[in-house]
Amino acid sequence: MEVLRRNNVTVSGHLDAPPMVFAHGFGCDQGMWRYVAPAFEQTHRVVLFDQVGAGGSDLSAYDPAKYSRLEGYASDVVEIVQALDLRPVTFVGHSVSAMIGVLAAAERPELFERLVLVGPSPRYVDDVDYRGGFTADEIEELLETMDGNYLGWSAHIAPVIMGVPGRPELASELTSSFCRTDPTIARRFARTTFLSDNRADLSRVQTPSLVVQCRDDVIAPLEVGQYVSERLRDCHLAVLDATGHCPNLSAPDQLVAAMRQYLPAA
Amino acid sequence: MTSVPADDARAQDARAGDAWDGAPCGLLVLAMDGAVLRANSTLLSWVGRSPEQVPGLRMSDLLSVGGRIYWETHLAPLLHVEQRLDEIALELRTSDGRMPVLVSATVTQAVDGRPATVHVAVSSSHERSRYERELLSARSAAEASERRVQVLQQTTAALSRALGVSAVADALLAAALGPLGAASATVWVAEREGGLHRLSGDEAFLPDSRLLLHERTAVRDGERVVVPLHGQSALQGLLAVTPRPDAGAEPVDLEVLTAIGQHCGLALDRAKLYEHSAGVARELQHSLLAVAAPADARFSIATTYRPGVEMLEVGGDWHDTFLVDGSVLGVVVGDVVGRGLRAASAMGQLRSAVRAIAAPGVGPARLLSRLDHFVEQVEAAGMATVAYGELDLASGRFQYSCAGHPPPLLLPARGQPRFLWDGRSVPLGAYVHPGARSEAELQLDPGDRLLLYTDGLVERRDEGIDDRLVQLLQAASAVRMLPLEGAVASLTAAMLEGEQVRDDVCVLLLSWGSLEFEHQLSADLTALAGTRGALSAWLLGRGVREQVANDVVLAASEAVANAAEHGAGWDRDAAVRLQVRLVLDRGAGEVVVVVRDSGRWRPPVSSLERGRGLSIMRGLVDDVSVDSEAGGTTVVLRRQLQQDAS
Repeated sequence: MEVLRRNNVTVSGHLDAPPMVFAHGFGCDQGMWRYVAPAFEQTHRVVLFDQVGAGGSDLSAYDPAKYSRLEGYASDVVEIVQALDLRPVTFVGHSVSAMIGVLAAAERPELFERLVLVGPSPRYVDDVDYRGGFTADEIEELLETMDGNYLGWSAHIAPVIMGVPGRPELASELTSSFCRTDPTIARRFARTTFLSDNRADLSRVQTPSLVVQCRDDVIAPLEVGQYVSERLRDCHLAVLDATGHCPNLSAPDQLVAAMRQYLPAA
Repeated sequence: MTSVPADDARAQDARAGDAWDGAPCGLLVLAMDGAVLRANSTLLSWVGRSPEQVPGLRMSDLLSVGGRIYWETHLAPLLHVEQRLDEIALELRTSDGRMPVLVSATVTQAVDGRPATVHVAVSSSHERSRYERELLSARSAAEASERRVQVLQQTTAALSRALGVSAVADALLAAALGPLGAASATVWVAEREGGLHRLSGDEAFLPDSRLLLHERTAVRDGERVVVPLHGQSALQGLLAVTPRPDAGAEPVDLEVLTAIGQHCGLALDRAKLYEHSAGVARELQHSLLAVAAPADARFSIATTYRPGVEMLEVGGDWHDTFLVDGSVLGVVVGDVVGRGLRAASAMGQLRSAVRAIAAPGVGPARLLSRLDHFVEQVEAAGMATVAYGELDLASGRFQYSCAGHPPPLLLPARGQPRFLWDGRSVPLGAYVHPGARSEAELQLDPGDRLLLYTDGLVERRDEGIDDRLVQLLQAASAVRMLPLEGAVASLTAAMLEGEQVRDDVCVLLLSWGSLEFEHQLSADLTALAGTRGALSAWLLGRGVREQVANDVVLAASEAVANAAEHGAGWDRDAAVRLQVRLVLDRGAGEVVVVVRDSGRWRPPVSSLERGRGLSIMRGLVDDVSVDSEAGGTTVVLRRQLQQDAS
């Protein structure tokens, strides 16, 4: 099917088990779930996909206007759930994809059983009475740096990582997937991610949810996780004893445990 | 493990310490979660920290904001998966700004209960990054300039294709919402009186034009960007653009908008000039075509002129009828090559020339030969096509000649329509031998009609001319029973149905020995007695038997009286129209009476009264139908003619 090819959808686990959809955030691709998704293959039907523009997705499907809003990505999630004809899913979204899941569930609540939001942030830029973790100038600096293509955000990141002297076996794996992003798309995705403000969408969600938050995360600080969990209707907050923005790689066991504790026993 | 003498061990430690702190690059050891475990003095001096500050420090604390996000979203995941990083360009946050560096790192696996660590080497890359920055900024400047050139090219091409002012505004709007990526846009055009007039777009706000009079570039006005459209000598209008609010949308490029505004101002200059000249040409053409045909009971004429669709400039089509002498009618339909003022004025000259040359004893062929001489003087009239004919109103003899023009169509009162393919020669000014113009002759019967038209009626991009001529025959057959005006309107509509782009169309339909009687009466019916007499004489004069004529006149009078009473309500200013047409077919025929008023029939005062009128009519004719519409009521009476009728 067109949607499944477009988003490089892969399905594993038990066909009859409750479906669980994993969505990766800004930066890499579905490989981000390599230590987490297998843990649910015994109990769930596990669905992984790449956001359009990332990993093995169909780059020709990248429409700048559509993907200049998180709603564009949210409609893809809805299409994937529909294309697989899944019963209401447990949606696990990391980073910006947590908010993408929030938008999708607000729009089509009947498709979503539960939301697991890992390191969510409804707005990265500070505002009156709101601390997102970044000042407007800092985001501008980030975007300028990216626009200048200077930090190695894109064009030369992949070749440099690929050309690991003496370890040619790495090259093929890297070219094929992890963190490979078209520079123009990466720049646009950064704008969409860091300049969106979806705080007002939190109250539209009916779906029960779990927010998983690292103790120390410079991208999505603890208080942002608290902000999100307080504004979602039926929400639990789990704080992991871990640092960084990617507990799915740095603390997968803790993340899996927190999810198992929250989800009904299968 | 072999034992090492204590002195040697101390010396080795000291040497290791020298190598660590004295290295010309920054060195770090991190925990897998990014916490800094050790940092050498080179690195600490770069970031302006002391060794005491190391505990609690994290790798991302050392980086600029961009680098920090990059570390958390890309590099930390990569280290986990690939176990190493090579020569990643980042920036350190230093006490006086940012310092470009290259970072390489490897993960040392957990051994003997010691957790895995990350060894990081940081080398300064001032020179290299300056060079790279220059390269990259040159490249992105080139890319940006290429994008701009593309947008500019697309937009200016669209602007120069647009003919009129509103087409220019539409092209600008399309560019703003398309390649320029605006969420909404509005175009305002300066009016002659000095104000601004919103031409297209959906925003209601009116920008301050006084400010823009002095502004030559696109300026921000709150959320909007306002772009002045300056022509050569005046502000021609302005464009207001609202950028898309989406987080990922590209920012608006003011320089491109300014450049497009300049192009558009000049395009508006040109469009206004063009519309002015097109307007003059249209006026000229209208005044030339508005001349009334001569009035004579022996013939009737209906004409139509349809300007081209999607073509602003008038074409050089014309039609004309005039008396050559008291009993000969000159009929002409012609088409001058080209469009606009030049074509319209050439048409006017040619039209006058036809009238001036036509005289008793000249005839169609010689008239065209003299026109050939004329167009030698009037270059713009060269290659014009003309169908010219002279009709003897007394006898019905029709002489005609066609200079490169589509053939006239004969619609006989009896029988099927046919094209007149004789008397043909080349367009004006294209002749080879003097005197090569030919003419042909035809005898009309009373009630016969002739259709003259320009090529716009039959030429169509997607169909061959032969097919179209067949269609014209069919369309003419279908309308042969209709009164003259209705026949022209229906035929033209049928031929032009569904046509998107077409040339001007000029159609003239002439009826001789007219089998049509038409009178218009005011609703007070003061003229009814006279009309009855005229109708009776007309019917008898065309061979209708006296009994039939009397019945028809009586029924028609009843219908007219009904129309005056119920439709017009005796309103003196309202009118009732009486049309009578004889339809003659081989061996039989019918007379059709059409009475039309402009009102709705009121309910009759009593049904007895109305019933009486209708029953009188039914007793006199074969068929009565009443059709009431919003625009008025039409009564149609039909009475068969016997074999001896005509």
